[in-house]
Amino acid sequence: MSATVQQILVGMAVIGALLYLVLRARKKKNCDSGCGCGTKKPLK
Amino acid sequence: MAEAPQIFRRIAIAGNPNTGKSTIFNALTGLRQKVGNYPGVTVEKKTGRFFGSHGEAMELLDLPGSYSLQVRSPDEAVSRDVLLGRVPGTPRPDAIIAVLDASNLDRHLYLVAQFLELDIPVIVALNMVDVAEKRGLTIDLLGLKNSLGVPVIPMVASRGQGLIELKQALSRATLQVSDQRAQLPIVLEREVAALSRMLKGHAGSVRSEAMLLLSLEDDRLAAEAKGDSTLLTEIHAARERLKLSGLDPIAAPVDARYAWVSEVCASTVHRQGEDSHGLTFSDHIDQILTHKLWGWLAFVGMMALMFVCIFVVAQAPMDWIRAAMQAVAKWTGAHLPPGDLRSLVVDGVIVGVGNVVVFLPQILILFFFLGLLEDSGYMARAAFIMDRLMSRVGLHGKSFVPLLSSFACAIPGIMATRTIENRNDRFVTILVAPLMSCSARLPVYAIMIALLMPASNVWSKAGVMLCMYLIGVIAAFVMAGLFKKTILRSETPMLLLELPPYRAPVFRGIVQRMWERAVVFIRRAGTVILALSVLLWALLSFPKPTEPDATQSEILSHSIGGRMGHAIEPVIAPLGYDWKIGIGLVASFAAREVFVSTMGQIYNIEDAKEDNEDLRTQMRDERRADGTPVFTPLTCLSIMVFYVLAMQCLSTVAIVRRETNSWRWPLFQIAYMTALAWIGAFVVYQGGHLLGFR
Repeated sequence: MSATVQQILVGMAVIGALLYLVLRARKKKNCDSGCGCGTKKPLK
Repeated sequence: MAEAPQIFRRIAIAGNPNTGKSTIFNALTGLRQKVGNYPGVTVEKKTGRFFGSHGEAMELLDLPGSYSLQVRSPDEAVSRDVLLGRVPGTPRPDAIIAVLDASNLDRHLYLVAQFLELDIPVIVALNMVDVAEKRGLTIDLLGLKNSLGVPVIPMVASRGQGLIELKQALSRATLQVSDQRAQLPIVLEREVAALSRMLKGHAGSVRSEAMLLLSLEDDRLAAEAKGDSTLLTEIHAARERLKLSGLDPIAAPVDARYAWVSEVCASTVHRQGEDSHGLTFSDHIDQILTHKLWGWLAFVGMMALMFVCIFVVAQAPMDWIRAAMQAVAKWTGAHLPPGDLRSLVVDGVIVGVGNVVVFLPQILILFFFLGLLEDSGYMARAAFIMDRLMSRVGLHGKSFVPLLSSFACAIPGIMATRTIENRNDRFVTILVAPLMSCSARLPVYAIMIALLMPASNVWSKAGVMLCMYLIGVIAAFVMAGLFKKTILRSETPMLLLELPPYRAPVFRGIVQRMWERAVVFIRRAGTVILALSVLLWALLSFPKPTEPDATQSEILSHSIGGRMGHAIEPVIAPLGYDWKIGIGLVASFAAREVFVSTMGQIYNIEDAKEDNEDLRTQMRDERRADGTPVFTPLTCLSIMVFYVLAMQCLSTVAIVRRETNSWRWPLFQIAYMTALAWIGAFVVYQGGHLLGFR
């Protein structure tokens, strides 16, 4: 695997992780996805 | 058009919530119902019509469920005001159908005791007699009728049983006002009579009105007296006289009614399995478990046993997960060419996620025990013994459940505070709930205890962990007391708690809940923790130094994460932390368990070894510039105390923002908890140093 391919993959992983966290924070979440408490009720 | 028949009798149907009031209301009125609102409040007013046994038209008013006429919510205020004849447009009812749950008679009779004081005829609908029978209760109906002085109709409203008898009772030509009621102390009766004379000309029962005014809390009294200064002065004077004669005007009638209720219950309700003293098996256990001294010892003993099991039982599965994680890291390391990609996969993803997943067995055991204690009925006893302590700092009895839920996670705990009616009491509970040690702190405690006392037996380790949980509880109580005295003042109401009988826990249910927790935990590790691990790896790896022969340590120091650690080092140095621990603190602001994964990443990136060592070994071997170990016992304790007291959870911040509807409270909470954590860790580290510990 060339160094360039490696760098592209690393870059994609980091941007992907960042995007995931940002989009997740923006979405109105249920409790079961935020804290690990398992409460299924929507937070009104 | 046919003329509406003249109303023969106006009847209110009232009782505690969930007693089957609405079922009886619907069964009597059918479709002849009307729904509106009481003036000035958003409480639903439900009325209906039906015909008595002889065809006479009756109007039925379904009152909101209430536990007593000592109101705590707008719903309860409506019930009370209608019965006192205070609501414009709603005439005072001619009779009350008091709906009681036969299986909970001792609790529900309190409201009947208050109805009997209203001077309105009462008919008791004793609902759910089938449930009471299944629970082994035998109720002496004739005895109950005589003790209350009112008709008692046994019913199973859901099956329509007892409806005909109820209609017959309501259709009688005259309904008697009962002469039975709780005996109030003579001094109190005298003051009630004097006040009643002042209230002459009042529409409803003057005696009930006088009783109510005398026993109101100060803030409510001002509103109820509607600015009548002569009346207010007289009430205050009467209260002073009562206090001088050793009577609490608020508690005295409550105590008298409860004494009366237990007298009635003792003579009319019999339980199967009761001994000659009327005590059941549960009562015998409760004599120990709710005892002032033994209760506490049993509580602490049970918690200690729980933590011992967490260490002993979880050891083997944790070792398996650790070994599997190391094998995966080794295999991946061998199959990827050296470079950033390998570092990301091995040091970032596998180490980051793996170091959190390792703690899954401990978290599951914690939930197993919590489930066991809850299902067996012990949690209600724990609430009972804790209430003594909680009321001392002014915490509301209802705060216990939210605080207890916070041991699992602060988020459901904070959501559970919605049951607390008083805003100030609720906010105090929200502010201190995250001080309870949640399951995300377990990995931090466990790794620090492993470093602190590697060779000690499990009882010592469990003892240290129990101490961490206790520090959280004590801090929560102290802070709650402080908030109640300063920024969130309010009176503390009494706790009325029902102790359910002990039951054998249903293991299937507990295992099911553990499985749900495991799924949530693994999902979180595979999503949020994974994403955070990748980002942390990037922060700890870039930018790289320009010198090509830089050591791994220099690369780490040069990275953004390393610089952040160095930047906060002056602030955390007095706590015994170096800049690498500082990175862990900053990274775990989002979630506490990230501390362990960050430390794993830091030491892995720095070591850059092919074989992935155990994090505990790496931390134990970590040295400062002068060669002394970084993780001394004192530093480990200081870190644990910091994590007990610090907020370090973005999800909690978000939920506090939502529940308090302002940014002010979550920001205040972060500030006070971080300050508390810093001071706590400082005292432990510097105090320990002064005492000669290292």
